[in-house]
Amino acid sequence: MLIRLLLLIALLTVPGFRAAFSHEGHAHGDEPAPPAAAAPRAEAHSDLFEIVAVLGPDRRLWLYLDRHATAQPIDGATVQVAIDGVGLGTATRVGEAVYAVADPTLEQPGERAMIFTITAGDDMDLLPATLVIPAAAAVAAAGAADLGTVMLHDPLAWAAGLILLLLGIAIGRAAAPRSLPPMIDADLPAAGTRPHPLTPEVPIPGRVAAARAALVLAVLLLVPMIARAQPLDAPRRQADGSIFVPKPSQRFFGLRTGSAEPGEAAVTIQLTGQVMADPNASGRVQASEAGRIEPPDDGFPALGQRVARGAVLGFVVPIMAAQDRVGVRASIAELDALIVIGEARVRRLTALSGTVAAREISDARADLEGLRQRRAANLPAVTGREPIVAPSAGLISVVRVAAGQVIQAQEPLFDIVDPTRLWVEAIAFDTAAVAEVAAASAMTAGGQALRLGFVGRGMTLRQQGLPLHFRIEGAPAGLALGQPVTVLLQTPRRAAGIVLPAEAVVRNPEGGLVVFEMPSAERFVPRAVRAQTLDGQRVLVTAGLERGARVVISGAGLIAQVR
Amino acid sequence: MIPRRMLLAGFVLAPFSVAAHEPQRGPNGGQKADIGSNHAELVAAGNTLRLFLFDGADRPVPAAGVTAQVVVLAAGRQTTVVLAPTGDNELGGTGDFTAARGMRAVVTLILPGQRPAQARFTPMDQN
Repeated sequence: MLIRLLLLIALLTVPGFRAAFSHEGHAHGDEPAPPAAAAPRAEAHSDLFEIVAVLGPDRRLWLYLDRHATAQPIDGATVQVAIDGVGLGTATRVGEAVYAVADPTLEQPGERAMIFTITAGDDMDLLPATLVIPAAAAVAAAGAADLGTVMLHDPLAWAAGLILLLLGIAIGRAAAPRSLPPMIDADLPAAGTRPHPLTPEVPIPGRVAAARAALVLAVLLLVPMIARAQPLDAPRRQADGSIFVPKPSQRFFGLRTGSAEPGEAAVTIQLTGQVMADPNASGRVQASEAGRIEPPDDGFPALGQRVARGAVLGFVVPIMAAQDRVGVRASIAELDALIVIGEARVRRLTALSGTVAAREISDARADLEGLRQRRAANLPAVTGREPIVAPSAGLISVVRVAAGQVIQAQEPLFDIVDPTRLWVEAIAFDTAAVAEVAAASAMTAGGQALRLGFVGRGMTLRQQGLPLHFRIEGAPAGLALGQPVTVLLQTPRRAAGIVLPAEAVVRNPEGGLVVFEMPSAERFVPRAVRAQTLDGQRVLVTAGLERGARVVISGAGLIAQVR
Repeated sequence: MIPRRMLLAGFVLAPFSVAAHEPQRGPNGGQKADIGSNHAELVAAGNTLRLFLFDGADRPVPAAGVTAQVVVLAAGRQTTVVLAPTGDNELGGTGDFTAARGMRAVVTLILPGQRPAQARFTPMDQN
């Protein structure tokens, strides 16, 4: 006996002992029953199909057909039902991948042996299942259709509940905030008269009408739901920690499963980073001198406007101090006088061209030309304006100008960014870990995945961190400069585990990571796992899952919220 | 006492059935599966079916008084075969089908004085 006991304890600790219980057709009572309040149900599966039969409150048998491996609903299949060896024919389709069949034998309590013949496309299969129909009263209570029956079932608890509810309402009324009397009366009444009574709380007639309409609407909406009589069992957490999610809820959650197959993936490192502009495809527009800014003919470019390289974005009219301007004007006037003298001299010399040396004439001409050029160079200082041109093509991402604004030299006026050419700058604190980069990807706070190409790594620490630059490949719309992203670096090192979509791993209320295993059609068991993120879409589960387990890969977050 | 022994048997068998979903092979070369609290082995050949009965500890169960009905799905057609006792722990019957790979069968077994029990077999899919 002792040996047997030891053997039992030893076997209990074998991690694989659970799987042995779930092999096909095993009905030795190892599967936990669905919640007692749920409608009577039976399930069966093969490697192709999974079918759940639920006895609805309308005494019809509702059949939910899915693919076993993926939990994808199968619509348009033919399901033939036989109960206790008697064929009932083909079940009628009542909804997407929902079928129903009615039979008088379903109204009598007892055990019913059912065989489903399923044809979906080229796939055919036979599935047996046993449905236990309880006595009629129990079904009515389970269907939760008759409130009176439930009340009669446990009158004391209901009475206590009602008293508590009334007490709560009374406390709520007593504690409700009241409008305070005004601190100062607007027009003080004559002394001796009593103060104004507070305005009584009159219900607003519009609100009353709206509340009535809402009530009527709710009733109208509820009636067809009740009349449809689909077995509406609520998903719930069971005492053993597993979660019961009936098939209609699974369809609502969009639940999909996958097989946990072992594989291996590259080890990844997470870094924080932010989006920046590609220095070769962005530009900053700055004024080269102080001045007043003027818009071009078609106005300043607006935020987000696409500009071509070399496009004129505005003009800077240089401003000068009064004495500077006076100086320039004075020198222009002086030049004007010199030009007049020069012109006269050239005219005189050319008239005497036979007697004067040709060298003198050409010198006079050169002097005059020089004076004209000096004047032309001085003139823009008081009258001209400098065009501001776009240094690169792209979208205007920052506008810091207003017409007439006086700006300083080097003041940034516009930023231009090419939205298809963006970079990510990440900061690595462990410089040895990022020595080799095999591949990289990034994820925004909103969960958008970005493909990255490695550009380079700096050789100088900046605030204890090493900057790394990545190019965003095929940058999606909606990214902004400075946006924080999580960068996932793939290193050449590899780790073994089970690769799952990131959606499959969720946090339980205690904060641990769990993956939901689906051992049977409506039961989900949270499995605590150790996981590391591979890229934006996949995780590597390194511990906590058995190979071949059917795990939820889509809709796990909704299962985790079932209480 | 019997369920407890069965439980023990289950624990003892557990580590050996590594691939839990793969069908087990029976002593007569057929596929063995659980049916109710017993085990049964289905052998299909041509148009005949033979069913061998064992209890939870794989000891033969006498076939006298046992009735069984088999729904067979083979080559896209469904037929029903009624099995009658032909031996010690053996039932047999023939039907309008040809055993081939992909064949599915659901056995409904009624032991004397017991509720019907069902099991699904894929007798040609092993090996």
